Amino acid sequence: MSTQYDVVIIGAGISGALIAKQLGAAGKTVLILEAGLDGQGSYAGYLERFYLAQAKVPESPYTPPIVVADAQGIQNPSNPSTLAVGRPTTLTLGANWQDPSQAYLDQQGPLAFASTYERVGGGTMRHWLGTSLRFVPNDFRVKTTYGVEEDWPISYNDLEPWYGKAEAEIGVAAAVADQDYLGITFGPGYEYPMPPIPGSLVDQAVATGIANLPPVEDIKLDVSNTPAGRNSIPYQNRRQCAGNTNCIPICPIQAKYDPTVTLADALQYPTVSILYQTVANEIIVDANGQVSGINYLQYDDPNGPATRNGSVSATRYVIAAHAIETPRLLLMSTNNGTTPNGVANSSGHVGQHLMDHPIYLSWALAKDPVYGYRGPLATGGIESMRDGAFRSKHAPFRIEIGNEGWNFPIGDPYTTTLDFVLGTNASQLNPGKTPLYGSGLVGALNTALTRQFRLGFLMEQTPDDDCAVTLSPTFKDRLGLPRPRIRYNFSDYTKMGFVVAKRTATQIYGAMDAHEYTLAPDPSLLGKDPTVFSITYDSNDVPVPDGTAGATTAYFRYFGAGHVVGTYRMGTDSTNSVVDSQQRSWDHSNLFLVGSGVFPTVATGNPTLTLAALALWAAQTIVADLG
Amino acid sequence: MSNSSTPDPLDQFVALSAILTGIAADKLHPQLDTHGTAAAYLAYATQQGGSAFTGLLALYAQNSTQPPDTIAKLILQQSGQATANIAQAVTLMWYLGAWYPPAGLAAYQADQSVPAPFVVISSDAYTQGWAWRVGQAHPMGYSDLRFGYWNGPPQALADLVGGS
Repeated sequence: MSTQYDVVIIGAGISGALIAKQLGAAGKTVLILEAGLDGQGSYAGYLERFYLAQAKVPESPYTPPIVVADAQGIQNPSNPSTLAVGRPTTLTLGANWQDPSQAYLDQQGPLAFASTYERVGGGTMRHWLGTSLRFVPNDFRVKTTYGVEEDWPISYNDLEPWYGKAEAEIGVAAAVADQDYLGITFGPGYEYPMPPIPGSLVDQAVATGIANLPPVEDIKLDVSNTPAGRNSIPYQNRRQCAGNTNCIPICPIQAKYDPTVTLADALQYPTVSILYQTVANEIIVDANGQVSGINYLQYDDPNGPATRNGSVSATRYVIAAHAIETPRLLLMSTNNGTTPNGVANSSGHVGQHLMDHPIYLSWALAKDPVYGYRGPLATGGIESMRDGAFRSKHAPFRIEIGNEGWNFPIGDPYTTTLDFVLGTNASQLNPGKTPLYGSGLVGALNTALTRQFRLGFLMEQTPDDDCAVTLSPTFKDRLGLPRPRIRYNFSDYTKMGFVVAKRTATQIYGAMDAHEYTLAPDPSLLGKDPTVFSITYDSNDVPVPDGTAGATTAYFRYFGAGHVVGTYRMGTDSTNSVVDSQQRSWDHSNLFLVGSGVFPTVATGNPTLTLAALALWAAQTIVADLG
Repeated sequence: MSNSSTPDPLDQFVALSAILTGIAADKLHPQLDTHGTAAAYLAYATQQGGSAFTGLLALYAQNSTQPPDTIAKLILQQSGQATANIAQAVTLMWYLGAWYPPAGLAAYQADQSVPAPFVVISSDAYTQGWAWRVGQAHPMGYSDLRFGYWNGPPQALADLVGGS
């Protein structure tokens, strides 16, 4: 095997796969290094692992298994120090969040980073939902428009053509007429590759219910069909969505796009190859400030040590390893002390400004059946509060309408089924604590499950200095590499978005004549449960110190959206950003850093489509570079 | 289905299960039972449930001519917590495709802050779970429905669970 390529790419997720495919089409020689196992050909195994999982968390289907069973068959988180390639899981967000024998991330708090990722061929998009929203134009100029957060060095118009290309590659089902809100524009004559995925009965019930709802903060709320990377017609040799209600963690029929589709295309080119189970552990920089090679470790057993090492060289290098593993690699690359703060880090911003879309989750019973647990996990949302004058004061959000009953909020149908069978009331739906059987059980459970629905409010989290990825000085993986250490917190601006979200949810349920069951966390959990925070604010919704006379203190639990963003942001200046608008390292001109880590802000849409558009743009730049 | 004087244990198990779950016996154990769920569950419960489970079957056999509601109350309300818990484990097995050890159910009834432990019996069991069908839906990740079905009303509950 040659060790000299036009381009070496670290990571076989969506960004790496898209770039590899474009470079392959241009005849360039490409080697992809993927830390995890081959994601191809193991679909049945993934499904089996999902079906047998006791906790059907996003990571549950994928390899290496995120849990191990004890003698009684009870599944507990795998010990990350035994894994060559570890990864976080939502199973370690409870009392075990700082237990290094269960939690891969060395979480320093004060809050827990609640999102997770995969390290496997195809990357984290193996478990994505499919939501393929474009950002709104003001997302790119939020500082200029509202005086908060950061502007991007690019505009919506700059990115617009690339959005279209990304939508073609992913295969997005949507209609322009449903998506041209809040300033979003499309090229002349543009049409999405597929017609929209039909909305659910839950979407219809919410839309009908809020039709006469007065504006919230001067914003009229409307339900929109959600653009989805799921097939509404056969596309890319994959089937039409059959509504298995399981986009996360795995579509059983692969009607949902995942990056192994693009990766397989890329590997059809004779000049593109991949090494799995190959963990880049140092980026080598030469005396001229250019990257001259990548050192890597290889392992045979996912539970075993490194068995080989090696090095590859290329003309251009692309790091596409996500917003936690990319800064980890950059920071590990100290070049025997010549880059003591890591590679590409003259700004000191590598690892900084880690973000997510923390979710305010609320749930209710509809007045009439809405028949959840059917269709894709989400088909509609309320996008109206992604932008508006209120952005100068509190975080904007989008509202995702869930089609999976109370599965997300309380783990149903399990919890409610247990309640009715056992005479308990964990769901709040069996207040008489009556154990049921026979037709009474069928009737009660049917009444409950068919009326359940939930709304998830995805908050734009500000890029803050106290949210960062560094290297754990203490904990290592099986290869002996330092695990990521995380600091994480929310600004008052982010927290006030939760206050407005809670208020908005209650207004929506009221307009629908639905009965809300959202449970706020007990105040005693503050400081004990790492996913609980509080915010105190006055009658004008201005945050004030705790204990201020007349002020309100609210307590919230948040969930991760799986949107791992920031940590090597793009900008206009080498002192305040890690890459330029082309996603090229300011420090090393032959190094590109791609993926959601380049986002200066997390913005108001799910990140995948935007990071895919940016990856395609980077590919064009790299092809032009190579001549 | 058995014509012999000794009742077929599978038929007895299915009849008992129908009383507990509220789902018709011919839905739990259709004539053409491609999944073999009833037989698999009988074997699984026999192995996992031990004497509590065989005692439950015996209690049913002794009272099988009683009205269903009388049998259910006898099992769930008049024969002690251990009998109730093994019957509830059988109910949950049908609804969720999972085995909840009865001792864990008793602990959960006393304190819901600790989840009741369970094991998914098999991937086939998960995909045959009745809780989702009682919700007029399908197990998450397993459906034989077609594109767009979620845009309209579901099949009637009575068609799904059978019975009168």
